[in-house]
Amino acid sequence: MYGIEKDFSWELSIQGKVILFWVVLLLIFGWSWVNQTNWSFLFLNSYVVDGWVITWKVFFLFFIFFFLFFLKKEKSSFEWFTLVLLFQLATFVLLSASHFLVFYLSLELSSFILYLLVGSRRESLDSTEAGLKFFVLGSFGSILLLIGVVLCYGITGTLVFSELILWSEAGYSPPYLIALFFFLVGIFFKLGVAPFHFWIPDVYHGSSWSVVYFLVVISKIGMFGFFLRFVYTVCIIPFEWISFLFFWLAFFSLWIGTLGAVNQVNMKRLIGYSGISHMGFLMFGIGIGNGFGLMATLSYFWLYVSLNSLWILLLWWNQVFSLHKLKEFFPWFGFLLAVAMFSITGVPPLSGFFMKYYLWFGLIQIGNYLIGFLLVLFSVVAAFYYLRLIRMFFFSGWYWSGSISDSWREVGSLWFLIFVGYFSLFFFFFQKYVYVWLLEGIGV
Amino acid sequence: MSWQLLIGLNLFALLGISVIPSDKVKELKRFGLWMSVLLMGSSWLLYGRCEEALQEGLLFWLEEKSPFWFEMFGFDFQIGMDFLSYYLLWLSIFLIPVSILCSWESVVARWKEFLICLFLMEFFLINVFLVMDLFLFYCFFEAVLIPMFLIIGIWGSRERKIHAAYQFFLYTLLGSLFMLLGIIYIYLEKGTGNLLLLYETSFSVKEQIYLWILFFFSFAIKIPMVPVHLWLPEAHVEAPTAGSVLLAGILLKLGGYGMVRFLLPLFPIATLYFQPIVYVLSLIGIWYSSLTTIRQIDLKKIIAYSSVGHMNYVVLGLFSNSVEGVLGSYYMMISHGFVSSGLFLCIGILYDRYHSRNLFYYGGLVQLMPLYTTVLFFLTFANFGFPGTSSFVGEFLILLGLCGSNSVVFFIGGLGLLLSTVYNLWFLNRLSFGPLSSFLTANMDVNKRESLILILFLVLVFFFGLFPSRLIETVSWNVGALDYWLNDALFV
Repeated sequence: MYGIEKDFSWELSIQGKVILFWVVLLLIFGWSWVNQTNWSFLFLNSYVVDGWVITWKVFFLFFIFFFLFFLKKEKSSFEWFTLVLLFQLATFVLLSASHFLVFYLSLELSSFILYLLVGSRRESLDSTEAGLKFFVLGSFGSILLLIGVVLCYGITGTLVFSELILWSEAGYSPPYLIALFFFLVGIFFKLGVAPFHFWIPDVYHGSSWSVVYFLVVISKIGMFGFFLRFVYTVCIIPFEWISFLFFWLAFFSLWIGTLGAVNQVNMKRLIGYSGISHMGFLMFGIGIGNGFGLMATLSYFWLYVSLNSLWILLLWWNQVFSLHKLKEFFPWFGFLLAVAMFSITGVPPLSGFFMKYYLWFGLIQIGNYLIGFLLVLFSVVAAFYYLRLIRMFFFSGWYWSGSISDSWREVGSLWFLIFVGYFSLFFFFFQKYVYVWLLEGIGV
Repeated sequence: MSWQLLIGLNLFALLGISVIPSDKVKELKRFGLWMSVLLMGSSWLLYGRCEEALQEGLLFWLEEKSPFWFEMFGFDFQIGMDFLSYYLLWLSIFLIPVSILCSWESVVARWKEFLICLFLMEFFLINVFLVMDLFLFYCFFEAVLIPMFLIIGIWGSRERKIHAAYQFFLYTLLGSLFMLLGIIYIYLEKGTGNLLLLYETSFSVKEQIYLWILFFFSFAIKIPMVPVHLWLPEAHVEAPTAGSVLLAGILLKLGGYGMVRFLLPLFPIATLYFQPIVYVLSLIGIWYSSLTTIRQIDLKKIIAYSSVGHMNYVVLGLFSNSVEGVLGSYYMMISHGFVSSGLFLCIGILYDRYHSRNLFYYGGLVQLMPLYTTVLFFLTFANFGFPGTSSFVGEFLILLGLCGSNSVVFFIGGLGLLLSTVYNLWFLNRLSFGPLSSFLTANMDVNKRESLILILFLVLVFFFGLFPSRLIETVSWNVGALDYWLNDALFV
């Protein structure tokens, strides 16, 4: 029966060692997060460590830590662990980067790992195609980004963010704006914001479930953390300009993501399109422009990460289990899937409602009713394809099944899912604290 | 210890059901039934609280401070009730044991999940009627979608159920998200969602008009009014009997409750401003749904479309700007809660026996099931408001209110009642009388379990039909206040 692994013991397994390593990291970062004393700018202001960065790193560690529990199901786990470790290094530098070159190098490192992972199923034609496409298009995105960096250097003569801030405050010469624009386009490319989203459906289609999860959740964290810090510190561009740009990007993303997902039969493509539409919501949050908007964006992003990890991991798990034909009824699966899907649809007592609620709150606060209405329409359409998962798994007699073995990996995976599920279920009760904490952290 | 007991019992029931293993169906059913009956009993405590408030001349019975768990989690929400919410709360608690009993044999699989859905729904419904806060009302108002969506989708009978569940979910979601925008606006403008504070404030005319549209759209979908009524027949037809009973019995009334509680008192000027268009929409709804009912051949669709007609009467009464009209609407809502859910039960009983809802297969049922036909006879008569039944009181009061308010609407709406008589008699006649249909075989008349529910319904129908004074006396105080607000707005 699946789940009885004889080849495993604490001493020998590389997985055990890696996980232990992560525990130590988590403790160190958690400690420095709680203490919050030694913030600093290192290496001539090119590497920043402050509360924001540490917070993002702790959350990143949390998600990647539990990702490791699921990794057992991959075949070549040795390569996986090496790559994931490297990816973590890249993300940590990325989150702390305060210099264009530091940023660019860490971004390229993380991108290369993603190219490798996407193309890692050598026997599959889809995977090879996806890897190639991802590589070509990703390089294209990187080049756009590099153009922005070069232009920036040519205009300002500096690559350090703390000096660029002075430039931003001094005035907005059109070349400087164009340089920032190119740079942002590169980032949008990596995040998958429409109209720079072309790579997403095909790449997701060709990847294995673990890579999809990696692309949707884990690779987004570092990128988005950097992006937010960059926008809110370096790009202190006039409010009209920023909201104009972001609202249009958001509109495109919502349009393409939502309508692309509606008739999608391939689950991985559906995940890709729904990711694009979530990026649209996030761009609206940034477009609000004030501190409240930042709070809404942050809460949206973290709830997006938790909910997406819940449903993608469940789907992945379901597939792994159904291969093994376990007959025992497994109620956790149904319960967690229902919570995840209703939550991401945005039904009130669950956490997915609050992520949209605060977005609406911000939009109405700045008097942007039209976009509020637009979001209503798009989220109703989005409800349609999220509910389809409920329909698939529940309405025609449930065929999902399985039980967990008592190996600590399976138990750990289940506990992670249960934790995230209950977080979503009871978010209603402590949402106020979360938002007060966020607002204090932002300093509104 | 009144509403706390109610919520505590409900949570205990949920916990108990999730602990009992799913293969012990008999224990699950009994536990669920007894818990729901216990809940029904304990709801009388709330009656006492409302009664006290009435004796003291207060509009609402209020909890002085927020419940401890709200405080613990940093909320400040108002809990309170009056008789307007009490009767609907009682109705929803009453319908849970009924729907457990009526599914006793017809639901064959997944009793555990079924009971969890039912008690979850009961939990949300209790909370909807308990909270006096816009935001919380919205939360629970929409949370009801989750269990109902699952009930329609999982325990429905045909393939069409997926379509129906989607329609139900998406229509309601669309409407209530628009209401959410309005609620957020009110929060930002007034800084609170507490109804008691909001009743003290007033909105400018322009604000009222826009907010009224947002709120009305949501409630109109829920009630439902005509252009957005399409989800209702679908959902009723595809849901299992218990689902239809709950939908017709209580979920439609959430729209009416929202109108009484929020739309009329918060936006009185806009209510008067939009009165003509609401009249027109309701009249179209009444005539259209009645004419559609006459040509339906699905038994459940007949009742579903007739519900649309009756709920549009409710809207007419609510907007008639008179105490009688609003009182009648409220009475109609309660009465419709018994009558139409009773009719759905009857159809469910028939469906359990013959596994068809097609009218053409039936005929001469009185020869096979005389007891059943007797009950059906009374309920059908109650459905078109025969004097002596509970609907009559409601319809009479609504027409009384309309008569004073707008005689044209009174006349057209009153003629609509004639159509209601036509389709109800037509339905009863084709089902029960005439030669015995060749498709029907000898089958058991109602058994003990079914007759228990049906007798309960008959008693309620006749009790509220013959002794309307108790309900009207208790409710009129609040309705009077509502009317006062409206008339106040007239002379602004």
